[in-house]
Amino acid sequence: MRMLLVAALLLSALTLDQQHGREIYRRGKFAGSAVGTATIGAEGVPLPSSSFACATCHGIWGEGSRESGIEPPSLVWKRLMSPAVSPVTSRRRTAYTPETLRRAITAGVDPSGAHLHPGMPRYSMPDERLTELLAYLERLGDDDDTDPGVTATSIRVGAALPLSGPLEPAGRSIRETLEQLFADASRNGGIYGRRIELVVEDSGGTAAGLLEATRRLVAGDRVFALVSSFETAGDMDAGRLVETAEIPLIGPVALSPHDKNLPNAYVFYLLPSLYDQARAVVDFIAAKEAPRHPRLAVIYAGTALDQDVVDGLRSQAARDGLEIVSEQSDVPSAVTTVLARQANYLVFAGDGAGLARVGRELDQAGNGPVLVGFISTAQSGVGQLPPSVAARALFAAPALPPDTRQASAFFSLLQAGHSPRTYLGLRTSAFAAGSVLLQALRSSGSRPNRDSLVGTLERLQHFETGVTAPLTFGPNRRVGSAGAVVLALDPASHDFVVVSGWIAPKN
Amino acid sequence: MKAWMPLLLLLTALAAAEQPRIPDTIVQDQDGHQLLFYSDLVKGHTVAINFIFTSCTTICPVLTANFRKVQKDLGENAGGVRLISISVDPTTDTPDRLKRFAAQYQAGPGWSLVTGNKTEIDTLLGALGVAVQNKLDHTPTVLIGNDVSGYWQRVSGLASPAVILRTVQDAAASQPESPSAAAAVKYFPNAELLTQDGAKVHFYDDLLKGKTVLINFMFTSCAGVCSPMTANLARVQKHLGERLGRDIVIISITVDPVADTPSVLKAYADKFGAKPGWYFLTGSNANVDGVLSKLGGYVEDKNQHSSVLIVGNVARGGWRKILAIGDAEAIANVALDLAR
Ligand code: HEC
Repeated sequence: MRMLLVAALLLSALTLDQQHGREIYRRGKFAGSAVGTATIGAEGVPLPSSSFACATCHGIWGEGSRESGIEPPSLVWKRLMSPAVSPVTSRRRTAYTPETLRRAITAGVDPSGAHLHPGMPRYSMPDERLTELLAYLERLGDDDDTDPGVTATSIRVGAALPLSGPLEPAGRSIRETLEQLFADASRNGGIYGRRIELVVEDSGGTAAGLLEATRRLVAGDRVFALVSSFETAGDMDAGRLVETAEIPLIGPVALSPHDKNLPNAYVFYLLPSLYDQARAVVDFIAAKEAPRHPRLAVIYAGTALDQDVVDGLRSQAARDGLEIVSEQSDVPSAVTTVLARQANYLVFAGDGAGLARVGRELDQAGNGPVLVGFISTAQSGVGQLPPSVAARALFAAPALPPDTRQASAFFSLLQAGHSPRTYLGLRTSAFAAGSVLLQALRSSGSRPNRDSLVGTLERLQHFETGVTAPLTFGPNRRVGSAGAVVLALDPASHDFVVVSGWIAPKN
Repeated sequence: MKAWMPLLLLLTALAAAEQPRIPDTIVQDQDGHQLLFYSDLVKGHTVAINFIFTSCTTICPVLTANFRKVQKDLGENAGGVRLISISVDPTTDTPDRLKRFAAQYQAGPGWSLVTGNKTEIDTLLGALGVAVQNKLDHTPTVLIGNDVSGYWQRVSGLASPAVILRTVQDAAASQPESPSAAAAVKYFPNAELLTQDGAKVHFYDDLLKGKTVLINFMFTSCAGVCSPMTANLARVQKHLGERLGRDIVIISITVDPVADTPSVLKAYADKFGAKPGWYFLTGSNANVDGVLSKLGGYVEDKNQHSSVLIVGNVARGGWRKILAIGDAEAIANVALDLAR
């Protein structure tokens, strides 16, 4: 009878109480706020319990740890319910009961009333919470104590994509690529035997829709991680949402921000920011023109992203010893001023329409500076450039175009899925994001949890997706690549031709 | 950093020989402020220093909670005692991370958490005797001392806060063995040096005596910080106005006396528009090295010379070390203040 009961327990998912207990164990929090206080030593200062989450010392699965000579023991239920010896003090103790266990957590004493090592804090929290914590301790580290979205046979990941509205084909191509990639990985044994399932919520392609779709994915903890969500330019609200929910989002299809400060810890961008692309462009021009010192000019539209370009240009021009002879917002007289200052290169930071207009003004003036634009923001204007300007113009791109790169894995996936070669930029983004996720899951071990996924991503170094520059993250680095590739237009075919290798900006 | 002997040590008649030589490593605190470790945090204070990193799981929460308790028991503003937590993982620990860590443990005013360049922090840790090979094995030490008296003690960071507190109080109450700051004037070297005009001067008698002085170290062929430093002193010179040469002097001592002859220094001084009252000094190797080592400016490799400016009132005492490339007006104000 008893055996049966235990077996039944082990086979069930965590109850709501146990799930609350897990948040207390892992974060010292309930519903996002500290559950109470933790105190070190008999007369210590009570500090928020969130600064002393059990998991930091006893391990995510209660396996215990060891650091600088303190060895918090394993908290696996079976060990607690049997006599044991403290690895810290070598003191023997008898088995805990639920009552003595509560006392250990709140008063720091073992079953016989002896003081535990002062490294074990004393907690004060409402009775209800303590009950939930104990309910979870009973399940801590058992086979069904898995992270949200993870079961014995599957890992569920989510994406918020436009599945309706004008951007529907874009969303569909991203979904298709991810599904193919995950199906392929699942066929080849999966991640420690688990297949990867994709859940997609429709964002409709708007900022509000993205927020709602992300909320639906995050709510109720249905997915383990998010991948490739499709953002409209510069929108960060969905990023904040995943940060609050502490769910990693890998490779949003979005322009990467320039992180001057600590970035949002849960969003991992793959492609370089405009700041770093601009720096790479300056290095390209400096190397191409050396030993001459060409004169740079910049015209920028009003967004924060355009400002990133200006910042990048300034910093790298100073480094490379180039002069920026004119720096102007996109006003009607801007091009005239650039011409008067005799700039050799005019960098335009703005959208496609702006690029095309500046191109026309340059065309009227005749032999002016070389126009430099950014594919990430102004690709739509490239086709509208007058031939004389287009023939000399240069474009910075955040990754090499597909046909020239080492993208065999990507193309064979495309072929195997009979997918059309449309939306290649989006498909490669999705492919890269999915590949990073799979790699990180593989290195996170057989018990995936979100904290170790973030840790594994932070250790990812020079990871080759074949469709982006090699990706590297770090504890303070959330944008995987820095640099750009420079393209020109073939006058006959109007296709892009690559005129540089991958340029990582000099530091 | 070698031989960067804190000037105050000399002035207090070399009170404690075994006092750790605390370098003036440039560090950043949790608010992103740049500080000189010795001059801005330790000098003239009682300090308790521990060693942490923000991604540390087991031990740092305990060390930090203990510091928090000590801070509370010391009372408002930690009773003038400086609590310092040095990150042993400076590559990861940005000021921003330290700020959040500080907030987690409710660190109050008077408690600085610092990080910096990895190599330099490692040197600092080495100088404090807590070099760390593997951050996961870092020793939970607390270093407690009084810079004025030269009292230094080490206790385990896991010792109860009461033990740490008692040691801090002992340190604060300790007295220097020889409090004769005035007598220490005799420690100023009086060696014969040459100015950029080729004039022979005695360092103390002719230049320092009775004056407020700004002293830095440079050499003319230096490709690094010397030019910006000298250009900045030229700006400081403007702010000093007519006081320069009257009761305030600027002294730039070469760390390369062989190459920097008076005529070379003259050309350099002219390039930066040095006015009367700004002396560029050279001389025999022995004399220059002697002066440098007394001032803590002696270096084996000239490229390692310090970019610190020593500002002091020789007659009355009162010494500050500041970065020679800091804001020129602020530097001038320090000198004008001391000269008052
Ligand atoms: C800062 C590190 C740290 C944190 C945080 C921490 N513990 Fe501990 N814990 C320890 C250490 C160290 C011991 C060993 C004490 C001893 O053996 O004397 C311990 C011992 C225990 C014991 C007794 C184990 C035994 O075999 O006697 C229990 C139960 C326990 N911890 C539960 C918890 C719970 C529940 C939490 C979170 C609410 C928690 N601990 C948070 C460090 C920590």
